[in-house]
Amino acid sequence: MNKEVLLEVKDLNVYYRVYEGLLHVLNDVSFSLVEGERLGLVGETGCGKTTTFRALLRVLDSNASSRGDILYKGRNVNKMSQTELLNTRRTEMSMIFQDPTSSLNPVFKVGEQISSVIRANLQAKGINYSENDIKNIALKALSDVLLPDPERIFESYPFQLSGGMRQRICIAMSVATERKLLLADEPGTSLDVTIQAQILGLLNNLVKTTGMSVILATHSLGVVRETTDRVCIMYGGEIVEIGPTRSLFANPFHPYTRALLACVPKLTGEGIAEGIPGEMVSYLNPPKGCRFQPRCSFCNEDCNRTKPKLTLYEDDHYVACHKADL
Amino acid sequence: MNDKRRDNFGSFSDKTRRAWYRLSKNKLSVVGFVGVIVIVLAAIFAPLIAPYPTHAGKVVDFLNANQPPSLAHLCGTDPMGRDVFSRIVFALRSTLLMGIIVLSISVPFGTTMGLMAGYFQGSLIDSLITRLTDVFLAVPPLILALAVAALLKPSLMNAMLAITITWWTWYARLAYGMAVTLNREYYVRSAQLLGASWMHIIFKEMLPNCLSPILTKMTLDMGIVIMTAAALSFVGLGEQPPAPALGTMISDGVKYMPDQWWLTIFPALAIMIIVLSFNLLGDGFRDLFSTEEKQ
Amino acid sequence: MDIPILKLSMLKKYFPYKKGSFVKAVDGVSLEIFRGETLGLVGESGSGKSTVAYTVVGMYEPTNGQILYNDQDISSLYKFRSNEIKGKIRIVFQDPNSSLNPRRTIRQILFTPLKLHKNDRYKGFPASPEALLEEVGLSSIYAYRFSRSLSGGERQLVAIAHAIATNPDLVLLDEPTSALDVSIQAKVINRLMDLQNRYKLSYLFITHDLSLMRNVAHRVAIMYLGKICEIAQTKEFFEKPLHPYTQMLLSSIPVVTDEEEQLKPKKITSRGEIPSPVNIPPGCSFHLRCPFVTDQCKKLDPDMKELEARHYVRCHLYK
Repeated sequence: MNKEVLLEVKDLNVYYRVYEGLLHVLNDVSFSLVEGERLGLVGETGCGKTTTFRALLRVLDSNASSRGDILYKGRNVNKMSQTELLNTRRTEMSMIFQDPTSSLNPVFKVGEQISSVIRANLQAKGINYSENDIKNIALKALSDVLLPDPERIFESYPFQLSGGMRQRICIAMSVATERKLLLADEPGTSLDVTIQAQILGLLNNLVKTTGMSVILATHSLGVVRETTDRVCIMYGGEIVEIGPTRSLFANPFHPYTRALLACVPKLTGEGIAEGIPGEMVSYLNPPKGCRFQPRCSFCNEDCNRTKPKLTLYEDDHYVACHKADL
Repeated sequence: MNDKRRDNFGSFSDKTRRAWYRLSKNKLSVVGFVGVIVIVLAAIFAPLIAPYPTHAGKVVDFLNANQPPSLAHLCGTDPMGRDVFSRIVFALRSTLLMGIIVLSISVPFGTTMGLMAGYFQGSLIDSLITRLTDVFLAVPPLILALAVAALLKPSLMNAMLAITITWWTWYARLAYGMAVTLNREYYVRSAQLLGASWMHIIFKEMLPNCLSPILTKMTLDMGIVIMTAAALSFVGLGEQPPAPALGTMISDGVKYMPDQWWLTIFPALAIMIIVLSFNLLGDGFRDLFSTEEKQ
Repeated sequence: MDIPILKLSMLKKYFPYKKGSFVKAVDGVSLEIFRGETLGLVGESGSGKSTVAYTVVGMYEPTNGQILYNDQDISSLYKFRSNEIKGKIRIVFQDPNSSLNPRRTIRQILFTPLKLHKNDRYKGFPASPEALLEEVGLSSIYAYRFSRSLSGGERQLVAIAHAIATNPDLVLLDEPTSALDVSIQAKVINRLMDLQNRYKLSYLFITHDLSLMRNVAHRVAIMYLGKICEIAQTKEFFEKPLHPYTQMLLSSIPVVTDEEEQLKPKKITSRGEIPSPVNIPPGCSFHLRCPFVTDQCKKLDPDMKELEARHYVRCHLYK
C-alpha cells in the first residue's frame, strides 16, 4: 500500500548566530512523512524539536540560517518565494503550540479569531465567500473538535474557557481550513492528564477521518507510544533513531533511547534509573563524531571520530550508531 | 527552552563586554553615552578645558564686551567681557551637581519608602506612606521651589532642597508598584516562610530586582532635574552671580536678543545637549534591560 | 505506636468569592504522614492538592480543621509560628525558574536559611552553602553563579538544598519535577530519595504523574475537588484501585511498555470538563463524571471508610 509522500526533509541544518559565535543546532536532519501518518518527534529540552518545526514553516528567528531541503509535496520550502511560502502557511501546514493560553489573542472573541484564519485561507485559495459561509465553516470545525455548544464558544473570549477548550480551538483552526499537515508542539503538556488524553484522542480521530498528517513533538515517551505510527528520537540536533513506534519501543537500540526509556518511571514500580551522566551537548563546539558519545557507556574510539549515519537495523527501523553494524 | 543552561557566568569584565555589545546595537544610545562622558569630564576638568578659567568668577573686561563668536572666544563674550564658552564649561559643574545631589538623596529615600509601602500593602504603613506620597506628588516642583525661595534666601542649596522634597515621590511610586508585583514571587514567599525580617526581604530580595527600572529612570531624570534647575536659575532662584549657571545666562542674555544672539543660544544649546545625552542614554538602558529580561 | 509527624484532621480552606460564596479549595482533608515516609498526593487541577501544601506550610490560614505537627496543634498559629517550626516544615515549589531570586548568587540564596536557623542544626549537618550543594550532588562551583546560569534541574536541586538547610522534619514537594525532562527528573528524584534515607525526612509529594508516584511514594492519596477519594499503600492503590476516579486516572496514563499496559485498569474515558471548585455539584462531587453513578450519589456525599488495612475509600459503591 503506497501512500503519497507528503513531506521529505533531507539533510536539514540550522545555525544560530549569537554573541559567543555560531551554534550548529540541527545537523543533517532527515526524515519523511506520508499522507495520513502520525509521526512523533521525541527528545528532551534543547534537542531541536521546536527548531525543526520552525524550520519546516520557515519561521526561524532572524539570527538563524537554514540549509537543506524541505520538500513539501515536491516543492522545496527553503527555496519558495515569499508569496508561495505565505500561501503554503495559509493552506497546507499549520502548527499548534504547547500553551494554548498564549496562542489565542485575549482581546478578541474566539469567533473572530477563527474567522480571520478561515478568511485568509479562502483568500489564498481564491475562493469566493460570504461572511455567513465563514461562520458556518467555523461552527462546523468547533463541533468537529467535540466542543459542546459551538455557538456559545464562538461568542466567548478565550479567558472564559478552560485550557482543554482553548487547545481544541487551536486544533479547530487547522481543521476548518483543511490543512494537510499539522505540527503539534507539546499539545497536551500544560493540560491535565485526562484532558490531554481527550486532546490526543481527538487528534487520532481527525487523522482517521480527514486523512491529515500530524507531526507530534513531545518529551513524553508515553504519549508518543500511544499516539504515533512512527517516531524519531532526537538528541543534540540529530535524529538518532527512527522507526515504527511499537517495534521501536519494544526493541530500542540506540544507547540514548535505551537510557531515556530506563529513566521513565514505570507502573511496575521497579524504581527509576539514575539518569544520564554528563550534560547536554554544546552547540557551539559540537563533537566531530557522534554527539551523544560523551555520555554514552557503549562507545569506542570510532564514535569520537566519525559521525554515525542512520542505518537500517530492522524492518523500517533505522539507528544512527556505530554499534549498529555489529 | 528553559532547561538550557546559559553560560552567563563570566568575570565582571566579561559581563561588561556583553552589556556593551547589547547597548552598542542601538547607535543613538552610544551617542548619548559619549555625550554624558564628555559632559562629565568637561565638568571635572573645567579649569583645564576652559580657555579663560578666571572668567567664571569676578572678572570684567569691558574692552572685549559683547564680542561675537570668534576663534579667541568660541561662543563670544558677554556684556562684562567674560568668555561665554568658559562660563558654560564651569556652569556644567553646578548643573551636574544639582542633578547628582537631588537624585542621590531622593532616589534612596523614595525607593525605600515605596518598597516598604508595597511590601506591607494594605497595612497602616502602606496608607501613611501612600498618602504622604500623594501629597508631595500633588505639588509641582517649580512652585514649591518658588515658595521655598520666598521663605529662605535664594541659593543653589535651597533650590536643590526644593526639588528633592518633591522628587522622591516618583521613585516611591515606582518602587511601590514593583514591590506589589514582587510580593507574589515565590522567592519572596519562601523568605517569609523562613522567618526573614522585613528588612531582609525589602533590601536583599526585592531591591536587587528593582535596580533596572530605577537606574533607567535616574538617567532620564538627570535631564529633567537639570531642566528644572535651569528654570529655577532662570528666575534667579539657583546659583547666584557671579557663579555661572546656564539658566541665569539665558535670562541675562534674553534682553540682548536678537543682536547678541550668542549670549542666549549657546547656553540653551548646552542645556539641550546635556538633556538629550542623558535621555538617549536612559533610553538605551531601558532597551538594554528589557532585552535582558527576554533572554 | 509512633506519633505521625503530620496529621491533618478535616482540614478546610475556603477562599471568599464574589457574592458571598466561597471557593472550597480544600474541603475536609484528613491524612497522616510518619517519619521517613513519603505520602503521595495526586489530583488534577482544581483538586486542591497545592492548597493543602500551602496551608500546611503556613502560607494560608486554615478555615477549619486541625494541623498537628508532632502532636502539636499549629492550625491557629498561621503567621505566628515559632522560628523552630518554620524550619521544620519546608516547601519546594513547582516552578524552578521563579523559586530562586534571579539577582542573588546561589551562595547568598543558600546562606539565608542557614543564617536564620543556626540553632536547628546538629553537629555534622551541612553548615555552609558549599556543603549543601554537595548534599544535593551539585559542584561547589555553582555557589557564585546566578540562577540564570543553571538549568532547570539544577535550579530545582538548589531549591531542595534550600529546603533541607534548616534540618526539617517534613518537606512538602509541590510537583517538583513536572517542569523537568525525564532524565533530569530521574536525577532529582534519586537525590530526593537519598536525602530521605540519610536524614529520615518525611515528604508530602504532590504530582499528577501517577507513574512517578508508583516509584516514589509509600502511600498514595487521591484528591478530587477538595476532598480525598482514596488513600492506600502504593502497591494496593495501583493494583486494586477502588474509587472510580482512581480507576479513571489510572486507565489514562500513557505508558511505555507492554507489561505496564497489562497493569492498567480497563479504559474509562472521562466525559466533559473538570468542574471548577467554584461550582461544586451537590452530593458526591464526582458524580457528574462517574461511570457508576447512582441516585444516592447525586444527593448524598459519601463518608471515608476503611475497607481493608489502611485502605480508605469515599464512595457509595462500597458499604
